[in-house]
Amino acid sequence: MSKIWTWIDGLSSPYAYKSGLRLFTALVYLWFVISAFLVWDIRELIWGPKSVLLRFGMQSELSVTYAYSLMFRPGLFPYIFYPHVIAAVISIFEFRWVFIPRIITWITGILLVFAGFNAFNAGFMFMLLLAFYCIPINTSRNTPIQNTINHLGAYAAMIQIALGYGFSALYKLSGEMWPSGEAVYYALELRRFSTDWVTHLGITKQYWLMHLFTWIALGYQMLFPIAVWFSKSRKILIWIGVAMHVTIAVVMHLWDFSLAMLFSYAVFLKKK
Amino acid sequence: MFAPEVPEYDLQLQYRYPTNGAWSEWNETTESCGFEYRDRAEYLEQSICSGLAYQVAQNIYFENGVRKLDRIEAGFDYGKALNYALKMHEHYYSKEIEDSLQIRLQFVFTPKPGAEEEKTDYLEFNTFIIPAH
Repeated sequence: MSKIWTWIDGLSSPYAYKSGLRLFTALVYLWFVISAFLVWDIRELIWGPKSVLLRFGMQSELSVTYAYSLMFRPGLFPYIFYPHVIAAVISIFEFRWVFIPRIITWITGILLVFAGFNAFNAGFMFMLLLAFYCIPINTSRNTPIQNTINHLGAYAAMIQIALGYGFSALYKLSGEMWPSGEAVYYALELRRFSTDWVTHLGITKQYWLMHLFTWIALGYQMLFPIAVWFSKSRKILIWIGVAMHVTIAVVMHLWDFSLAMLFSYAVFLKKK
Repeated sequence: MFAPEVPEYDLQLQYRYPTNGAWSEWNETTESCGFEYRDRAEYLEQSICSGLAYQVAQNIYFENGVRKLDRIEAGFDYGKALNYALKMHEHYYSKEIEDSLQIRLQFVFTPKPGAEEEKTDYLEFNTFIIPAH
């Protein structure tokens, strides 16, 4: 019991690993800038008045369905997309009122993802969750309230990442392909996730290797929610995760998703 | 994306339209509209295709030995796919498809581990008559 009280008391003291937390918040908002850059050439096709994505002709009240307002009113696009990018850039820095651009990034991010759902994968939703926890974090201020907020924001982000991996593993275990070891083979055989040199080298025909990669990926996601809380295993886990997500980015061309996961690891950095 | 199962097929959305009294060739929707396969625009197509393929798996049925697609064609995902082909064409060629449009899904099935041959199949939807403005 006394340990819990000590921990609660400690919340109001300065966050021990400030540099790690500072880097984490900066990377979270940098991710939104990169994400906007990745769809820059097709931004009008996704969100603009001549969007190629189907809009349904519903009327909506901003206060009721604000998340869908850009979907219903594509004319709002320039007033949401550009402020989103600018706010995300400003949010990378730390100053007294940084929570304002961070709130703008988050709100506009929700509007963009709901109106452009087909343009994104789970990485965008995941980063929106982390961006929400980052809104009040400010490591440059040292007051008991701010310190408590910094601690809670960091813990919330860590728990979110751990839960993300855990539930992803559970979902995969509910199917047949992952437990049987064939998932990576089928993923790399898909044209959109394949790379010429992987195909030419015949890597996907090494079935034992495909099974091994599948089980490593599955095992990693199962272990992460537990092992990440122990300092000895955390380091190894993060390095394996870095290798895994860099491979996913390079081989499967899923840069936005991989960067989301890589950037999120910064919150676990124990760097003062 | 890859859970709980990874798709066992590659998908492409293709479309054709009447031109000079005959059907055009089948066009790869995104690639025929000026984009490369690795462009982000292809991601939109793949996402739309996945939704439509899911509807195919859930709602295709047979009546007296005849394949029925009406439940799929009444759905939102089919509408999204149609709209995508129409708007992409309009965007790239700066010209609307006026009369009618037909889309199909191309399935390229991944060989089972140990097998060699890919199998390609098509699911053609009924011709969609574009309502007059």
